[in-house]
This record gives sequence, structure tokens and C-alpha cells, in this order.
Amino acid sequence: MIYEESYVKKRKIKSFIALSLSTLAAFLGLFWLGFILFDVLRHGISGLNLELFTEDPAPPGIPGGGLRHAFVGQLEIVFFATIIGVPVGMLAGIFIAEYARGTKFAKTISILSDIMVSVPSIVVGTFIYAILVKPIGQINYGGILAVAFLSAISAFIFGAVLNLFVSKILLKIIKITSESAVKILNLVITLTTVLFGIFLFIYLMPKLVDRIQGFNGWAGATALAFIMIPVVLRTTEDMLSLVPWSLREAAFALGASYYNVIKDVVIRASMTGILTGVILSISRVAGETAPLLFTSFNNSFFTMNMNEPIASLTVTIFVYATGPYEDWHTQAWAASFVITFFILLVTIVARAIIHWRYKG
Amino acid sequence: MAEVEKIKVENLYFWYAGQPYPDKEKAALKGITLPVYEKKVTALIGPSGCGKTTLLRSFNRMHDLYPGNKYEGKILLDGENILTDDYDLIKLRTKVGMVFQKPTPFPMSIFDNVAYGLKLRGIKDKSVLAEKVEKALKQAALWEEVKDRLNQPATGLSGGQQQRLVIARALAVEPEVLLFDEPTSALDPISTAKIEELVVQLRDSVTIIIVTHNMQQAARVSDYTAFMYLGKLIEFDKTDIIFTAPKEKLTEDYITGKFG
Amino acid sequence: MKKIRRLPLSDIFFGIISFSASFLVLTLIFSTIFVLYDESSLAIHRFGIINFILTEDWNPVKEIFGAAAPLYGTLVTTVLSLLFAIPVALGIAIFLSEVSPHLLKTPVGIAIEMLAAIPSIIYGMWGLFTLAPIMADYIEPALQNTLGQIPIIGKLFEGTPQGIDLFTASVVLSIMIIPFIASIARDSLNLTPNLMKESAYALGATKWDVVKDVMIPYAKLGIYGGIVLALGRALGETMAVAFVLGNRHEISASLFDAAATITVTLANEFTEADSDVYLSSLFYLALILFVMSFIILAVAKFFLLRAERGYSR
Repeated sequence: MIYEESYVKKRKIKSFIALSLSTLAAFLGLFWLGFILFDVLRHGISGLNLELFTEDPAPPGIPGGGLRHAFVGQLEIVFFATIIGVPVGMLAGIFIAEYARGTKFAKTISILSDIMVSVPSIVVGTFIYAILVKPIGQINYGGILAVAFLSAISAFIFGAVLNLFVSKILLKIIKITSESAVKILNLVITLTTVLFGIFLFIYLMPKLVDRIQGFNGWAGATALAFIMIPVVLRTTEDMLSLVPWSLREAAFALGASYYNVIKDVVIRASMTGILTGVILSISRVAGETAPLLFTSFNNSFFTMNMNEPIASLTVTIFVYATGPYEDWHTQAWAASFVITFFILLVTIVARAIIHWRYKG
Repeated sequence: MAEVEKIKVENLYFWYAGQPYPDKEKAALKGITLPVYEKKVTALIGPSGCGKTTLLRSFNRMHDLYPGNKYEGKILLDGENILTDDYDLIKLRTKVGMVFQKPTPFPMSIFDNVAYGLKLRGIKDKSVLAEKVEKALKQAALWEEVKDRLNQPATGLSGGQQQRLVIARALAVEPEVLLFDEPTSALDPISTAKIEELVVQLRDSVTIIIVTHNMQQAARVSDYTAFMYLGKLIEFDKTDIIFTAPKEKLTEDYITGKFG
Repeated sequence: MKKIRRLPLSDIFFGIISFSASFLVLTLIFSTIFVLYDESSLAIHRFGIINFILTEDWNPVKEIFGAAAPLYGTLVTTVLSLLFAIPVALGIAIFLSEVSPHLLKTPVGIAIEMLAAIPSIIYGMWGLFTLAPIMADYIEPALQNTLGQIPIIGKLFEGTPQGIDLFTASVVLSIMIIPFIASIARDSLNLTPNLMKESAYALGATKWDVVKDVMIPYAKLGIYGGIVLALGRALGETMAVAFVLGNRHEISASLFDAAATITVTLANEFTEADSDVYLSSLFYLALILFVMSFIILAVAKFFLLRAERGYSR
């Protein structure tokens, strides 16, 4: 037996010290969290009142007023960001988890999305500024790209609707089942779709150019959607890959198309997870400031017009906190309180749902 | 042949966290009393869930890694009870080494793997380390295969080599007792044969306790065999007696394959 | 992948729609690079690459722009925040995987992850109104009186402590990135096979020996990945830094001086840029930041992917 009492004792002491330090580190982490939350709570509570939500700001330097414009603006921007970002993210996630499962393309998109999740959000702001804010009355590459994509996607949706509903009904009404008739009908649908896309592009391009009047709410919503897309994509992909392959096979065996399998089996089985991911991504972008600074900018008046600069809670906090008035600081703290606890609550609930659903 | 009792288990009860302590009817080990003779191989056999691994892990108090596990009774190692609260676990694990179901080479070189236990005990002298590592590897019949690549990562070895490396690692600190927990369950037949051969050879230098679900293995390598069932020790005797003329009906049923 | 013999039309259309959505992700990244390059081409032509990076001047009146100061600020805050964050985050990870009683693991883990959920603007507010005064009144003078007295190193702590400086910004950043490193490191540590840990304990190792010699080497790649990911995060963080760094385009040795980072410069000056060169130079900064963080995040992803593959072996 090789055993040296003193050395072993030294190691035991070393172990005790190292593990105590790690406990200390954990306490430090908790301390920071407590410190920040307590501070937000302490400062925020005092500024919290009903006027904050129901009144627009008083002129600078004059006490009173509220942040109704910012609350409404924030909701509007986040709402439209969700409308743009979630379908794209979900569709893309479905594609790489189902149709392209296991391919190089899927892997590439998945890795790139992971990188996109952490790309500096302020860079997203500058990108959106370049394509949706800066080109006042002029056309640039980014704008063309955006419009082209918008038209293409709308055309595809149009085509899908045509295929799914119109062609089925049409075939039922005229009762033709021959292969060639179906082929001709498909050709017609495809042509219509392409024409629709081209029409949309030609129609939308000048509209967009007209619409761009400098900072606007759409730009803000798009910037947030940019951040949401990879988050939703990755969650969707992860949740879909949790659905066992045998479940799909069972549906295939019944003769269902892959589309039907996805729609009726896969999505249904993973709905909770995907929705939770969507909620998490909303809470993620709800706290973003940097991408809004030069897209939706700021507005000290109430507006719901997305073509104008529009106030958001986060940018307002930035402006108020760095401003000179004590009253502004109080309101900034109150707004911080609302946004922090909203996000923490949503995050905790969403995590709890995931925990129960997938680990418990 | 006067045989020395290296370890004496006396009326041992054991409860895993969550089992209703101190309800003796529901313990994982129910009043085990068992001698382990010095420089002999003792095999623990029995159907899965019978408590043989639980008993084995009591000998080096592996159960203490997880909170809530409780012992009652005594395990005497050289006459000293190792189940007391103030017993030095590092000292215990120096005396009682262990080899697990699967090879577990650490993420370091072959040499460092074997030297690890020595370094933990304050041996820093390079030449001493080299000498002891070589001795351990030779003991584990691995020296010839790895002497030219001692500095390569241990994960590059084959499964059987890894398991012998792990045995060398346990032997390097010169333990008095070596515990084997189904050491060949993850290995192919050829590697298994090598490990079995090794166990037989090691008998001359250390006391060995081996858990196995393979009765032929127990018959091949052990001097004594303990048959356990549902947390109880059913029968303990010399291996040839257990396998040829067991006294208990239950033992006979098990070794003839009627259940298990 | 299961081959479907005859593709129904619904599949073709849904496939195309979902494909174009995933293709959009690809397009977004490349168009970001392209658009940023396009917008900054004016500044690239005027100032070049090396020259732009090495010039400290940032003068909108004379229209001379150089990225040296914000690059330096970005570098210093990132490195310092990593220095502060890594030991704490690893400590937390070790606590969560080995030291903590079972009942505390989940709540403490969630609490640490909550740090990552707090919006960065809140960190900024807190940094400006709460941490900066504490820094200026207590911590920075204390550092000046101790470390500041040492020759050479003392240069880092010169000047009047204002609280609005590189040091405070780094502290705020470090708190922000702790959860990223901690949770990835914890997950990696937790992947160490139980049998591996038990073998080390069976050799007479203490808990710290097991952590240091078995678990950390085993989880190495994951931990690297977490650190590099945090590096990428720190590099691109805007709001938390914007409040507490000032916006000063000068390089000075002292950590107690206001400074600028790329993100802070963008946040403060983008809407004020009144000439084409000015705006183009800001786009140039954004392009540099994007390329830098893209590369760093790709490296992080590489580590994490390799770690994943290693564990599943």
C-alpha cells in the first residue's frame, strides 16, 4: 500500500478550498442577479402608476405624463416582428428537419442559424437601415432583394392555395381524372404562380420605394424578425427531431403524403415545444434595443402608423436614462421594471413548460 | 491450509436513498455475513438485482458518493470496521482498488493513467513513477503492447487493452484487495479470456472479489463463491462445492439454469 | 431518409415554400455581408483597410475616420470581461455539477440562466445608475491605492475615477456573459460518464481531483466552445456598454478612462452621421464587427460540434 498521510491531508484541504471557492462563485452569480433585480424593483416600483400606461409623455422637463406611446409602439413592433419572423422560422425549421433531414444543406442552415442567433444585434440594425430606411425614394440591392423575396414567398403561398383548394375542387366539378388533364392543370397553376410572382414584384417595388420615408416601424419589426428567425428555426428543428421516426412511418404506411404527415402528425406532436420556443423568441426580442435604434428610431408622440418612426419601450428607456431630467429617469426605471419582470416571467414559464413536457 | 480472513462482513444491511430505512425487510442487503480470504478469489454470483454489486461497492464505500445511502452492520478489514463515519475513505480506497464493468481510461496518456493513483499519493519522482508504472503494466500483461506508446492518449487502445490498463492503474498503488465489477461484460471473448487469466495470476499478490453474471467465469477463476438472492446471502462455500454439491435448493436451481 | 415514390403536389408546394424560407436564412447572412460592404465601399476606398484599422483619429469635421480607438475599446472590454467572467463561470459550473446539494441544482441553475434573460438595456441602466457610482467612490480608488502603486501596472489605474470607463464596462459585460459560459460548461461537465468519475474516486481521488483531472479534461472542448461563444457575445454587446463607457475616440493606457467600442460608436453616432463618408465609415465599422463576430462564433460552433461528436463516441 502506497499511502502518505501528510500529502493526502494536503490534498483534502486543497479540495475543500477549491470547492468552497466554487460555492463562492455560485453565490457571486446569485448576488449579481439579486442585486440587479432588487435595484430594478426598488427604483421601478416608485415610478409605477396607472398614468405610465394610459398617458403620453409630457413635454420634456415637465413632470407627469406616461409612456403609453412606447408601450403601444413596442407591442406593435413586436407583433409584426412575430408575424414576419415566426412563419419564416417555422417553415425553414420544418424544411431542414423534415424534407432535408440529414442533408448537408440542413446541417449548413442549422449551423448558420446558430451563428446568426449570436450575431451582434446592432449589426442587424445597420443592415436593415441600409435596405429599409436609407434609400429614400431610391432603389438599392437590399431593397430589390427584400421585395424579390417577399414576392417569391407570396407567390408560392398563392400557388399552394391554388393547388390545394382550387385544383381539387375544379377536378371534382369537371370530373376529369385522366393523367394528362391533371398535368395540364398543374402547368396552368405553375404558370399562374410565376406570373403572379412577377406581377407582385413589379407592383411592390415602386410601392416600397414610395413608402420609405426614413425611419419607420416596419424596419424595426423586420430587424426584430431577423433576430427571431434563427431562434424559431432552431427550436422548431430541435422539437421536430424529438418526434420519433416510427410515428411518421405509421402515417406513411396509411398512404399519407409527407405534407399531411408533417401537418397532422409531426407538428401536432411537437406543438407545445414549438409554441414555447416561439414565446421564448418573443421574450428575447422584446428586450432588444440596439436593432431598433436606427430602424424604428423613436417618437415622442403617440402613433400607430408603422410607416413613421415609432417609439419603443427599450429605445425610450435608453433616451430617458441618458437624458437630463430626474422625472425621465424615474419613468425609465419603471419601464425597465415592467420589461424585466415581463421577460423573466415569460422565460420562467416557458422553461417550466419545456421541463415538464420533455424531461419530467 | 490455514486461510486468513482479510475481510469479514458481519450482519450487513444497506439501504439506497429512498428505501425505507430502517425497515430491514426492504433493505437492498439483508443481513449479509461473509468471510473473504486473503490472496484468494471470491466470486459473487446471483440473478440481477440480487445485491451482488451493491455488496461489492460497500467494500470501498462507493455508495458514499451519493447522498442518502445508509449502512448498518460491520465490514471488518484486517479487523478494523470500515463503516464508521470517521474512517478515512482515501485510505480505504488505497487499500481496496476497483475495476468497473466498462473500461474507463481517463482523458490523458497511457502513462499518466497508470501514474494517476501514484501522483495522488504524493509520488513525484520521475524514476520512481516510471518504475512503478512499468511494474503495474507488466502485472496487467499490457507492458509489451504499450511500452512504445506510453505518451499516447489511452483512448486509442482497444477495449480489452483499456480494461487491462484500468487494472494496471488499480494495481499501481499496490492495493491489498481488488474489486472487479463484471469486468468482462463489455468485452469480446478473446479479451475476456485474457482478463480471466490475469485474475487467476493476480491471486498470488492480492485478495480479489469479483462480481459476475457469468457462472462459467465464476467457476473458472474463483476459489470461493457466494450465491446471493434478493439481497440475502444464500450460500457461501468453496467454488467446486458450490458448483458440484450445493447445499441449498435455490443455489442448485440457479447454477443449473432453472432461473436467473 | 425515407424515399417517397411519387411526390404529391402538396408536397412539392409545401416543400418549395419551406425550402425558400430556409434559403432565406442563407440569403440573409450573405446579403448582410454584401449590403454592409456595399454601404461601406466609399470609406473602404478612401481609407483602405490597414490604414483604417490603425488610424486613431475620428473627426467628422475634417472627415477623417479611423477604427483604432473603437477596436481597442472593443478588444480591452472583451478581454477584461472574459478574464473576470471565466473563473466565476467555471466555479458556478463546478458548483452546479458536483458541489451543490441535489435540491439546489435546478433553482440555482435557473437563476444563473436568468442572468442571460435580463435585457441588456437593464444591465446598462443598472451599470449607469448603481454600479458606476459604487465603482467611482469605492472600488476604483481602492484599486488605485493598491495595484495603482505598482510601477508599470499602475499605469492601468491612473486618472480620476469617474465610474464611466473601460473598467466598469468590462465588469458589466462580465456579469452578462457569465451565464453563457457557466451553462455550457455545466452541461459539458455533466456529460462525464459516472463510471469515469467513480473510477477516479475508487483510486482515492478527492472531489477536486476528480473535477480537475477527469471532468475538466473530459469537458474541455465544450468549455472552450462556451468561452469562445461568450467572447462573440461580449464583442457585439451594445446597450450594456453604451451606458457606462462614454464615447471617447482616444486610446489611453488607463482602464479608468472613458473609451469607445465599435458597438457604442454605432449606437451613438449612426443617426447623427451627416455626411456620406461619415455614414460609410460607420457601416465599415459594422462590417468589421460582423466579420469578426461571425468568425469567432463559427470557431465556437466548431468547438461545440466537435465536443458533441466526442461525447457521443
